[in-house]
Amino acid sequence: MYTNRGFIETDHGADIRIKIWAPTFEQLLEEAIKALGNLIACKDKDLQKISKTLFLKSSTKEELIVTTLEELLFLFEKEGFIPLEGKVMDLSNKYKVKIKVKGRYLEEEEPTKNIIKGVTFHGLKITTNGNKIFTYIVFDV
Amino acid sequence: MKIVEYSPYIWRIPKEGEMLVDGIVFASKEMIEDIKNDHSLQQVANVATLPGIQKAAFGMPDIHWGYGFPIGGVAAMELKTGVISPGGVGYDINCGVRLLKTQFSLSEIENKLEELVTLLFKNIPTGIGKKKSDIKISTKSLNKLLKEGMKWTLDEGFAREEDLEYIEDNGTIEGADPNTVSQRAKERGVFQLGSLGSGNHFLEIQVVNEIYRKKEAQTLGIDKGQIVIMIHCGSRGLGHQVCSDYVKIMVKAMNKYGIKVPDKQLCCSPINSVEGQSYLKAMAAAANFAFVNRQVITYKVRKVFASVLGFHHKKIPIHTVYDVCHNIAKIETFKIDNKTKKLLVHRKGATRAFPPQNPFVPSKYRSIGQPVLIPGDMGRYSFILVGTQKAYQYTFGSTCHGAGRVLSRRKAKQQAKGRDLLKEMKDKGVIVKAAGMATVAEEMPIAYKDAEEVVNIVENVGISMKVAKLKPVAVIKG
Repeated sequence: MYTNRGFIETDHGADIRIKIWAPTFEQLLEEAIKALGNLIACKDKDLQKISKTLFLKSSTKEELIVTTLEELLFLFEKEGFIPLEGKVMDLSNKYKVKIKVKGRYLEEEEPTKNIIKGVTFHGLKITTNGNKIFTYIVFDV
Repeated sequence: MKIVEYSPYIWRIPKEGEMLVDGIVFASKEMIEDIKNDHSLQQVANVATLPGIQKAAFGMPDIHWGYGFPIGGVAAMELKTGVISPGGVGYDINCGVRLLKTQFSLSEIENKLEELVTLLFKNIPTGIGKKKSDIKISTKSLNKLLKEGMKWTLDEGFAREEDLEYIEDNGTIEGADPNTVSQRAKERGVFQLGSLGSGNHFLEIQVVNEIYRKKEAQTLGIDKGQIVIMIHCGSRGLGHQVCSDYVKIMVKAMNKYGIKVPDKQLCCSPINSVEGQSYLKAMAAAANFAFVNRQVITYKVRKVFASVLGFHHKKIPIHTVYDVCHNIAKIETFKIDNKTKKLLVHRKGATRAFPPQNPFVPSKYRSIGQPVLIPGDMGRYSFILVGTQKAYQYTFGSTCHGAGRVLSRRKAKQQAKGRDLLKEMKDKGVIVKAAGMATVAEEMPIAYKDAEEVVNIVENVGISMKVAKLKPVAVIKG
């Protein structure tokens, strides 16, 4: 029913909710990054010209997801950087992470698919089902 | 969770499990069936579990699924035992509405409407990301703004003295401390002053379409056929960052204080704790930023109208009717069990609706009560209401804040496929300028409840009274 890893937008009244799944937490985080880029970018461009490395830390896995996405939203708001692909480079310490994010800059006059303003903790819980882990993320728009 | 009809338009979620008080939701029989389809009633019940909550957790008729608190939620907490929850205020701190009145009629500006809208759209940044405001301020000036709110706009020449009189709390929430606002929040705010943002935020040129109460309308200076301007926006990235920062702080602090909540987004701290006090100071600063943001937009509106209609911007007859907060927490005084108590009232997607003779209502409006501004969807209408004694006694001086969504953004976009929404709006007599078509699709009229149904319910319950209906003729959106 589900691919090995991925994400899907599900209904949420005033905001946007996505369901994400993957075999490992690292991959879940990578899918969350890809989902964010997919929610922002209107055009399917594979021009992943820019690469950024993030060093982030949190107290829990859930908080690490929120912190990562918030950092990327900040970069989008500040520089127009759209994250398209993430690779967790190091998660040796449980909640300290080094992530390489590839993406591109929003072009002049390029519209966005959604305007994401924040990442919430609403209903955020990582659950396991069989050999996959799942989570829902609600974005404030 | 049970929901029972208590009396016409009033539904009760009886206290059960961890709930400390009942939930009370205002809705018609038809509306409550729709409301049952999302998670907002459960969110009312969740709010009812928060420490120190008084009387009931309220849901206004525009209630819909939010995060943590429902949108359209009101909860008042006792100061000694109660908590403050950033999720009970929302990300867009002091998202609110300002209404400006003009001395022009539609026929006087009709042939200049396109030019007005084009210039407003050009001068007031919308959307997010790289679009920055042309207002440049230093960090020192930003700190002053965060502390002083509307007083800052007077010093900087963005406001007229009369503007301050007609803003909730005169546009300055006391206790704001810029030191409690993170550097990142300031960094996000500094280039967004005077910008509209996105989502459901808008600036509309409207015409007064119907007057329900003559005395109240006259007192507000509102007459049928008059052009008014409604501004709906908030504290932009600065407020969002304050909320994000303090949600994380409070998620951690809950362990320290032994607080458990059914949803992490309801995270909170005791009002008198270090975390709680720090959030209240930061929230006040963000709320001040929002008042100033709406004032800078007002300044730009005056400049655009002046240039198109041949006035000096300082003399253009555009005056503030009122400015209300929709997302805020404030310490206010109410009677509970015949005892006067100071309470912290969370209004998340709700409006203060103080009654006639209340000292917090501007003296000019004291005979009619506080104006309540209810934006509807961009195709139909918005409303001016006034607060009542019943609201003060029953709902901690609170009422609804808007129409409330019925379609999710995803479903709205699906239904908009293949439609020329701009043309549809133009055929209805509404010019729309938007940063992106996605927002227009998400915000199309059928995505919202009929705002008239919402305001009729609050009027029937007695927590506010209709004064005037406003119809949009031009809209700018993010």
